[in-house]
Amino acid sequence: MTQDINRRTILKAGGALIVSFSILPAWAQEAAQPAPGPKLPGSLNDERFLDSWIRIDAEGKIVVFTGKAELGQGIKTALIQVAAEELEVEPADIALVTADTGRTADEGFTAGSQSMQNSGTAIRNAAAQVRELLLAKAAEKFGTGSGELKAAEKVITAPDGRKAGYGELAAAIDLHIEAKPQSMLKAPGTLRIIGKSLPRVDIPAKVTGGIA
Amino acid sequence: MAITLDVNGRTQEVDTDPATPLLYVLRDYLKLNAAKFGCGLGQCGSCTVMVDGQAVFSCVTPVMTLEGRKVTTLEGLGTIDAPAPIQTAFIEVQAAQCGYCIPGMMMSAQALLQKNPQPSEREIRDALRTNLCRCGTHMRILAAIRRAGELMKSAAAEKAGTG
Repeated sequence: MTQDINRRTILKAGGALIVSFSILPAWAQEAAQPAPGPKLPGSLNDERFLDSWIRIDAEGKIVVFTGKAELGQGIKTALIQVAAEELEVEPADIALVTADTGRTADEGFTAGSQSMQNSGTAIRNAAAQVRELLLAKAAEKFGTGSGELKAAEKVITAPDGRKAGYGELAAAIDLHIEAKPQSMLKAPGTLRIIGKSLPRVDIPAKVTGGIA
Repeated sequence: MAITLDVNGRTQEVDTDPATPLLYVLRDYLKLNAAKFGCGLGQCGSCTVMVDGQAVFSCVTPVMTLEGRKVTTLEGLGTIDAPAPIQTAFIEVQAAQCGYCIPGMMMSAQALLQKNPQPSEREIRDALRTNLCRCGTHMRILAAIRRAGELMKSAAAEKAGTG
């Protein structure tokens, strides 16, 4: 006897099984524990340490991390703009690492226009908090108030002209600390880079056969 | 079987089944990754390269048909530091979203511009009929190709002037 197997009989037999499997992951997500501590902005709420998002080495090299992927929507460029703005550096000063399982925050899917909303918010707040830490460390070094200092081009300058580079300041700061719920974000009127249309950083490699 | 290929002006020997599609040889053997695998059936154009100046689908072109012919990929036009006019134009116009179809688009356009440096809008659109893009950068791609035509024209004029 031959068994007549067609699409319909398979669907009938397997239907219940398919439903039970598709519901389980949804329950698992519902059951996820809320993060301990105060609510933090954007994806900082899940990945709470500043150095999950921003690292500055002793040479002043700045690396920013996002769990979102560049899909041609331009987030590499946009996230670099956000980080450069709050860190008071130029976009070219930022190296960005995108969606790397071993290195970046797990920010789930890159979908639903959520990358700037969640990752952009996390990076903007983390960058502002890192900038404030750099300013505070410089103020401590110079014996001045951090409000009198000026940050630009990876250097913090005191009113009397003394300077300290981001690298040497960062070497004296532990960025493996939890972010705070509130950040000193730059006022809209003072923005230099956010709101400008920059050339996409991924396009040159995409039109020459490189890794974008 | 050893097959000798001329890719981007370099003669290279590849030991492979003669029926292997050119696309696999480019990507897997020669590590030239600009040409993309899209449909594998010659229907989407993302694998387009030039053979003797003609745009061809590398995914359905067996390597054995290419001995003694000149294969040009996007990497052969220019580099990130010294881009070809068409590459400069695509960067200027920002004519890419995800970029998957773009190398194929650019090779179809390059083949057109080499034959016809001043194509009409209709001719550009006809040349790109074989290339699909699902992001929706079509209008920018068309603008970039018009720009590439201008850049190639001024580069040729400069060459004629100095040479």
